[in-house]
Amino acid sequence: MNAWRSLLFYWRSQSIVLVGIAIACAVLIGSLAVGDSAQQSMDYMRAKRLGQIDQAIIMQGRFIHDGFAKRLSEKTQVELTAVLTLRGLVSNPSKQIKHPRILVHGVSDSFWSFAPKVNKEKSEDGLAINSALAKYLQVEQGDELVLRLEQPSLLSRDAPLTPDDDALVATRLSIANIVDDQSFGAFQLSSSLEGTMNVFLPLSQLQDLTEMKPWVNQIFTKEINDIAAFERAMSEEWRLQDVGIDIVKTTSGSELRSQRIFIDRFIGDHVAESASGVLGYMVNRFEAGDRKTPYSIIAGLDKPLFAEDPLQQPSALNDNEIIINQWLADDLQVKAQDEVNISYYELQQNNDLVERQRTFIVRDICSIRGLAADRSLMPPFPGLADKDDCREWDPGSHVELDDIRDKDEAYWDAYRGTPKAFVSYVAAQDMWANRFGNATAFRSSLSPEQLSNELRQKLHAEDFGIVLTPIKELSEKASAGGARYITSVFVSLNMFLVIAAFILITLFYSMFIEQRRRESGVLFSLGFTWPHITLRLFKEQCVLLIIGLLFGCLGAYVFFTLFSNQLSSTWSDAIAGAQLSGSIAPLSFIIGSVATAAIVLGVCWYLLRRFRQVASADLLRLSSEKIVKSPMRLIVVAGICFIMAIAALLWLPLAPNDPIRFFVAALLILLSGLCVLAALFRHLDSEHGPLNQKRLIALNMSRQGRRHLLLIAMLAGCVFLIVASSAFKMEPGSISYQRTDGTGGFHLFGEVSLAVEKNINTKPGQDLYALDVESLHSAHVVHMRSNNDDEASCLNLNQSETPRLWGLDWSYLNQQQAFPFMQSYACTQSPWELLKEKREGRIPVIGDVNSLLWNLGKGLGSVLTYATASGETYELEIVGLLQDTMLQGGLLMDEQYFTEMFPHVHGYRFLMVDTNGQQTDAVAQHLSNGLQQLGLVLEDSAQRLDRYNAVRNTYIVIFQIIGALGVALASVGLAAIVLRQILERRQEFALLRALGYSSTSLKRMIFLEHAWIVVLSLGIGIVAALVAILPLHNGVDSVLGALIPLVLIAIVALFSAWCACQVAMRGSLLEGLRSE
Amino acid sequence: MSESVVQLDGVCKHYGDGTTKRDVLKDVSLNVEVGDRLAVIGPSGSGKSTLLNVIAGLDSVDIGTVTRFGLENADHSDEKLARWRNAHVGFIFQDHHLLPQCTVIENILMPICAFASVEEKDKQRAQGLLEQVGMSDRAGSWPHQLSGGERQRVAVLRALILQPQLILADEPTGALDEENSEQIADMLDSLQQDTGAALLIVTHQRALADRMQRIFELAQHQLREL
Repeated sequence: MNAWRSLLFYWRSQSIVLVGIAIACAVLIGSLAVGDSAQQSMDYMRAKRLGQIDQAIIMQGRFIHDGFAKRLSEKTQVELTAVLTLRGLVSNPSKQIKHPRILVHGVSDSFWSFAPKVNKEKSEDGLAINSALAKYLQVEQGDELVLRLEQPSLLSRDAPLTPDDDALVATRLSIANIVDDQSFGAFQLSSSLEGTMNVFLPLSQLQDLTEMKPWVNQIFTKEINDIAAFERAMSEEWRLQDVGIDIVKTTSGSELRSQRIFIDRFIGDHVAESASGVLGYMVNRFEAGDRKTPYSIIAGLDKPLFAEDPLQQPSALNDNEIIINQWLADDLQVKAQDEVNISYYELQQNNDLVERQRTFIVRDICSIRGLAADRSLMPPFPGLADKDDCREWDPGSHVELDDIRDKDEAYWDAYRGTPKAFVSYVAAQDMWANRFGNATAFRSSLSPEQLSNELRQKLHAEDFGIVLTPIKELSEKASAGGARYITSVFVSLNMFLVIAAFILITLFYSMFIEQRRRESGVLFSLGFTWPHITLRLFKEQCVLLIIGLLFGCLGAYVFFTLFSNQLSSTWSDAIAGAQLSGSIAPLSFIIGSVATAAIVLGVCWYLLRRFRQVASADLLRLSSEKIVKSPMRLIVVAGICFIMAIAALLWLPLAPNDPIRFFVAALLILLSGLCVLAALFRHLDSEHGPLNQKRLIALNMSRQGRRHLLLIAMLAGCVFLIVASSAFKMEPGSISYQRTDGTGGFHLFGEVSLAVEKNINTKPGQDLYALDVESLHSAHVVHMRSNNDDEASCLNLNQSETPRLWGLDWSYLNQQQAFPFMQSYACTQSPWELLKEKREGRIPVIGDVNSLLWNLGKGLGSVLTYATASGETYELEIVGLLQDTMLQGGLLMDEQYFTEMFPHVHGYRFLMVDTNGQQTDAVAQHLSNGLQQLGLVLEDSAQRLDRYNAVRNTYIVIFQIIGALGVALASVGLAAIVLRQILERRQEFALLRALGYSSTSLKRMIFLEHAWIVVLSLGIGIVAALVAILPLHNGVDSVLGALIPLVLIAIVALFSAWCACQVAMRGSLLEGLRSE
Repeated sequence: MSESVVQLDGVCKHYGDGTTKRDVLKDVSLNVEVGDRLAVIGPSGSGKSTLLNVIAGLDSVDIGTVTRFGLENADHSDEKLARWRNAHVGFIFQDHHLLPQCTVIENILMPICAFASVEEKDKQRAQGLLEQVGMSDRAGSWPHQLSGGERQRVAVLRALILQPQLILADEPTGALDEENSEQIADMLDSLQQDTGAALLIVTHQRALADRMQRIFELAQHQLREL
């Protein structure tokens, strides 16, 4: 009851504290609620994307037999569905609308039972598309679409001797169904918020269309109760045939072949004891003197294989020896011990085929019989083995058909791919082993069953990427991470407002306690103990706190509604376009209220403790008695802060232009300025100078130094925030194409739906895509490989622990010194060179600081772990951080390491085009035309960077608005303090009036006191902000740009002080002089 | 005939709004001349302080006229009244009301700052006044370092620094013990005689009132001479 009465009596001063508590609570809960809402929104989207999928087997560039899924399902009784997913393009021919980036899923009926909402009515078989794609293409059920798909192959398209001409499949189909999101139209494994354009075909139809029967590349399961048992079943049920390995019976035993042509090294390692390797290849020509034999098959044979055919060869070949068959010996007119030169293509990291030569000594000449007549030694290279005529060959490399003679054609007709020569297995591997494998067959004396059993014992399902991925759990983690990120961002953004509210609370609560000094002193003198007195005040504050929290909870709804409306519209960039939905979680109410209560009670308890320390005798005296303190200690602190600021600028172990360095220095300067001001107040307080009105103003300012300092800190903080943040805003269109800018000097950035297989800087690449050399003569294209992981930039709210990887040849970037680095391990060399060498077994990677630091919480030296399709785990170390570049969202690594990690991910999906600023439009047009069939989407680099900057700009705008709210709060504080001080000093003003001061001059004096606060706040805030924006070339412009907000701040603050003066000086001051 | 400093004719003053009206002064007339020593006594709430405020121009009257020496009757703007008060009136209160942020001498010199800058001669005069009351060594002290009697002496000196023609003292010894009250009364007598200013004291203390030439009682909101 007493607490209520006391609150009601002191309602004026307490109402400000109440407002402060309510604002702090509302802002805290509201900020947490933005995260809640983002979480709910992402959960909802995840449910639509994944439906009832819990676990997945994702083959990452490999394929698996669909029978494996059936067997596994039967054995485990877990619902499974096998899917073949391919990239493609689609167009609506009637309206000429195209979408360059779609996923085509070959699905069986069981797939639809995984939908979020299962439709019991069986829909018509045939082409189905999701509603988003239907809307985009403006099509309805029954309309026709033209689909272009990548032609998958078990043999990677990057592998040597792979044909180029059948990379795409096109078909025209009618739409049988349009699938809405709830029926699994939104199916998508990636956690991108952008949404996927999906096309669904019956699995068998897609397999037929792409000649991929019976292969699939994804298997999904519903919830599995016993994961361990399921994994055991997986390892028991998989067969070699499921991963494209065939073991066939031969006359002497068995032979292992892979439908991927090249056999993975790890298989070779396991089979080496019981089988002999074969590596067949096509050489461009044999030469002896001026005689040449074009395009012939040659085989490298392991030693035991030579021993197997003793009639032909009693002992193994040396690595520089070759056995040629009689046909070749006749053609080249060579005999034993003569030299034969061979020319062959070697596969480079960037898919270029470079011609190499090697000279061998003819060890012997064999007749075409026995092993030397074995046609199966030639691997079934597509484009070669299946052609009846040599002139139809398309081995994926340049073939000079004119060089093929009639006798070569005759040999092909008679012997097909029978090798014309044999070298040692070691020599063959030295020349033709590649990342896809180092053998094309293994031959064993064991029976197929024996060899198969032996291999099954040594090989494991995970060696082939048959591993369960907890896709739902990972997705939940990614969205939870995203929600945490959003929460932390908005709590951080709003923290300034919260701090401002707490400063206000502290300020007013300390004034309130001051107001109660006399009363407390009387109570003390009446026999109350200090615990009694402070507990009484504390109880009052608890009541006030509860009321404040109630208002805060109501305010949180308003704050959240306003914020989420803005975030769903004007500020949508800040949350990557996600639509916020849902309500505030009860936990957020609890956290926000408890945090506010804890801080308020902490402040309250601290102030009451200080209050208790004052002697009771002092409490009974008039307030505001003067205690003169020396300013020296404050000057020392200011000096230390200043020196630390200089030290931060010069020696902080960060990159020279790292904004954090300047922000730390700026905050220290801000602190130093406040200390100087505090010292100045103390100095003024103790100085015996000439007395005049100016000095009186100074004395009055210093008299309430602590209050004024808190106000100045609040206002200076607002000024600092507004000036500094406006400097970091990147205006759209302000981006240049300098090498040291975020575009790296590249004018265009492209992404293709179907991979670019050849380097388009070279003639073979230009020929393949019908690109004109002349049109591209001034351009250089940097090709980037990419895995399927998610973009980890500000454009994706979900936080993938393994962001997208880009494998590239960085030499051009190094040569051009492209892109600005914020930080790297590089001392003297270019940071790009750090990508070359592994660091203690870790693969070096470079990424943009915005993605790494803000999205993933990673920095220089952080290590990320990736698991690959072959079950291997790779550690990646961040060796360099790019600053504000268009390469956000992924990690850059050397192409060699990328292909080591992902040997089966073929081609390039991202392109950076350097046009050297000449004819950019023409180059863009030419590339778009040439790579149209691959679904190339070219974007102006500056526009791409603008999209990322838009997110930052939105945050800055939010930050500035919060700064403005802070200014409003500070202005309320300023006005309230002016009012409060005038009320406290009414006796003083009444006296001055009695001494002859006019009310105008008194108002002027009071106003000037507070105007100085505003001026000093602006000064300190601007100086600190200038330090913060030192690294920016547009620093001065930014201050000028912030001039209007600064003037507004000044006007608002001065106006609120003026209003307070007017209100407070109204009425009679004389009451203050009465002692009766 | 002595010169008038301030003259009140039929002054009425009430507080409150239209519905609750409380009379404070009713038909009060008073003529204060240079050198007068007047005391006003009366119970609490009788309107003694209001009478002083009306005389000093800090409060307006509802009915009647207040004629102030050196001020045109028509010119009662805040600024003019403030200048008149500053030049002609010295105010002393029951509480000292010294500014805690100013030293003793600065408090004494405070009235000068209202319309001018403090000059050396002002400081010398303030120092001289302090010597007169035996406080020359306390010029640089802070108010909280003084005793209650000392603070009130400084308040008296502050009222006299501009050599006013009228000293208005509102219970000047009300917060002091007997000894200090006596000292302040002596000091007021002495300084008033030195300056020749009119002295109007409002007090409860009959002993202090008895020191004055004329004593008035304010009872039932009306002023009558005893």
